[in-house]
Amino acid sequence: MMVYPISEKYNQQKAHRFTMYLALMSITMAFAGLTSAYLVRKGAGNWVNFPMPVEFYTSTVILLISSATMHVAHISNKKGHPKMATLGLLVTIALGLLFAFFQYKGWQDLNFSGIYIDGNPAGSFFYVITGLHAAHVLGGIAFLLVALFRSYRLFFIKKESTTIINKKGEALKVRTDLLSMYWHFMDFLWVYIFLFLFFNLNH
Amino acid sequence: MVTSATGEHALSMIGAGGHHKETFITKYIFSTDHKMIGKQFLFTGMAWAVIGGLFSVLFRVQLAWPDETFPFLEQIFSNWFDEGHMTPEAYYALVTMHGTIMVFFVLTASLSGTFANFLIPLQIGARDMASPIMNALSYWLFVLSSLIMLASIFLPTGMASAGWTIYPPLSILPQASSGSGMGMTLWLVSMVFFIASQLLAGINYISTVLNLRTKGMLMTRMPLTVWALFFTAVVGLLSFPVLFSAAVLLVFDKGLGTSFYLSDIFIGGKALGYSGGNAILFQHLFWFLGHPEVYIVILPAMGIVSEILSISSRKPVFGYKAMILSLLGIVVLSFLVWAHHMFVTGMNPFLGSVFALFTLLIAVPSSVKVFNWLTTIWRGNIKMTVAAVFSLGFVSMFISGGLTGIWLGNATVDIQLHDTYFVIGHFHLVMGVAAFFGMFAGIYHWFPKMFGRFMNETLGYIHFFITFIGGYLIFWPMHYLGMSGVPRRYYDFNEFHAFNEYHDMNLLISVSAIVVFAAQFIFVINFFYSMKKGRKSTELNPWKANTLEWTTPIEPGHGNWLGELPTVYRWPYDYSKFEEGPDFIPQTVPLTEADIESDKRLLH
Ligand code: HEM
Ligand SMILES: [Cu+2]
Repeated sequence: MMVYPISEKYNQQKAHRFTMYLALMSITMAFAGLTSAYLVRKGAGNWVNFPMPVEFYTSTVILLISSATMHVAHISNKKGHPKMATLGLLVTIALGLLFAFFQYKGWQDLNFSGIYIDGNPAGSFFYVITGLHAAHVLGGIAFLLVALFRSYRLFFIKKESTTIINKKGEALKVRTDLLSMYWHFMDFLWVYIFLFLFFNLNH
Repeated sequence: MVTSATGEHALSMIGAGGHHKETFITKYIFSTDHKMIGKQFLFTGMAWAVIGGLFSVLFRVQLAWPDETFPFLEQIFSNWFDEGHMTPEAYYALVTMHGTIMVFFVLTASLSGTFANFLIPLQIGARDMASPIMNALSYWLFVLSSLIMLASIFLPTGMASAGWTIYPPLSILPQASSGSGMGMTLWLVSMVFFIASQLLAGINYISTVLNLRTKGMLMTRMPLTVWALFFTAVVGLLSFPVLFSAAVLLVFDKGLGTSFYLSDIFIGGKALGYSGGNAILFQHLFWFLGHPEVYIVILPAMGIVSEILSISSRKPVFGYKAMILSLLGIVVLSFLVWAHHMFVTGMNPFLGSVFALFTLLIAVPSSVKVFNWLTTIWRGNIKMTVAAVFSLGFVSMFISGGLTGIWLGNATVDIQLHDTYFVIGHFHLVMGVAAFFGMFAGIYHWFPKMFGRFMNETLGYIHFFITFIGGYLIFWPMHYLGMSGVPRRYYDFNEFHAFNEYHDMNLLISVSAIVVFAAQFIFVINFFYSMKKGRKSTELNPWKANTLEWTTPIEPGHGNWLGELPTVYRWPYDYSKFEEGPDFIPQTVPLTEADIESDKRLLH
């Protein structure tokens, strides 16, 4: 490993956060592309509307709560409460999975009511946009699992090796910081998608 | 990590190789050093350029001699020939893959990949990229994407053949063309990894430029190469995700029977299951990336050329700020003009005129840049290095091709010229040849920094003149073909009486293309020979340039600078005949009283 002066190290960390903003921006563009395609296609007519599946209301609430628990994990980590942070991560992951489950139920529901992915584009767009969002949430969960594992492992480092704890704790702080940015963004993105679909399906 | 080790200790560690022991694999293969990753992009790009070039030679052979048989080609490319003739399917596949390879794999991934990686940290005074791991990952995703695309070339059913723009329904229906089966599927899979690679890379470049500049390296003191590479990354970051979305919908149409892009289609009297889709929607999504993409290709070349023209004419870049603002103008406008590729889709004429207006507006920042290049060399004492002649060649090509863009930007003219050879001539001059010239200029110029040796100059000039003259011989006549209405993407013009009389012109074009392709091996040989046996670089600053990369050791290790990072005091273009001393002042030289007083060099 190279040894750099402190100030250079600090810059690296600042860069990490900024890097996450950029990643979120590119995700935004992908969904902006999809929703504008939705509008263009809808404007051309031959569009079969359907009601939003009820499960999606539940899943929205779940994702909102998970944002709060993610925040708890992030803050606890910053303040040096590893137990609380681990718990926060655990609950966030559970809620994330629950969200995915309700999304799945919602799609199933739609399928039962005769809205198929290969039917009218109104339905196809619905599946693709919500599906792509769910894929992003699952990706986030994968990284949350890694953070959970790291955070849990901190408990088992011998008390006297404080330097190791500090070092790993630092790395974890950066990790949860970035993850919480991502997670809140997924929440925000979902609210946007939900409202977008809600208003488009009802008008 | 000894974070407290500033001063002596840290320096001695860096000096002693600076990092953990490296094996061949960590140093040359899974390297995280930005310089090595840059070289990896360069080598991969060269391999792709040879394949892409070869494809164009093959289809030019078909156009020049449609009635001849080529048994020897059939022996090599048995898949694509039948009784000595190229099959029409193979022709379309070759055209498609030529475009895909050149636009995406060579001029996007490799041009940016090579120079952004190699130059950004060196020119802004950083040890490496913001995230070296992400950077390596981006290269390996590119390799993965390359391997998938390469595999598709050997498919017995043929590679993708719907054009590099993969318009549906051609790209979706295997009934439409055999290449739209597995070939197209692999194309799409490959592009997904490609986009991921580009996004990782671009995010990293932007983050590095904004966060890791050394002390004193204000944004307004950055070399124009860095500015251009930075804006390129911004454009990519905003446009590639939209291509991703377009491709996702295409994949669903292809694999799952959705109808995003396909409407009622009958094949052999039988209706396919699609209904209610809109093929134009794909064109909108594609060109929302596609137009910015052409600037992703050209901006790095613009940056490289600005830098080299200033160095070799020993004059400050004319209008440094105007250069940056025009880059910014191009970035913004490039997102507002995409539908000029779609004037013939029956769009609302009012909408068409709006797009025509923005398209013509983009000529303004483009001309500002051309004007500034010309005024930069104006009355300069130009040293005609190989890099300099390629830069001048770039300007020439960019002007020739840019002017025809203004024709095409007028919707009424474009309706006549769309999908003819005029368009092919336009974009090959302005983007194809010009961007390649920028790339060559950059390679000849930074070769000593990359490999510690110089490339052979004589071979360099020969390479330049053949490519320059040959480039014009290939693409200039195409404008006349296009104005006479000769359409692009036709397999055999002898089938049409109207086009018979252009046969000689096609012959000229094809012969020139073969010569130019052959001449590129002069470059390849020069490159590899010089890497091993070239004249050794013995000075730190062989071109007498001001930028930071020339303050590192001749062959910098991982971490770039031995001691502390350099501090920057001035902009990078202080070239001039000064009252005393050399005719250049590197960025690391503190300002004198006189400088501060006049403020002239600082704030151009
Ligand atoms: C003065 C500036 C420019 C204007 C007004 C302009 C205008 C146009 C127009 C209207 C077309 C569509 C023609 C058609 O398909 O009918 C076109 C095609 C194209 N232009 Fe430009 N252009 C300009 C500069 C550039 C530059 C700088 C590049 C690349 C570096 C470029 C690359 C392309 C490419 C690749 C195509 C063809 C894509 C295809 O259909 O396969 N153009 N240009
Ligand atoms: Cu365009």
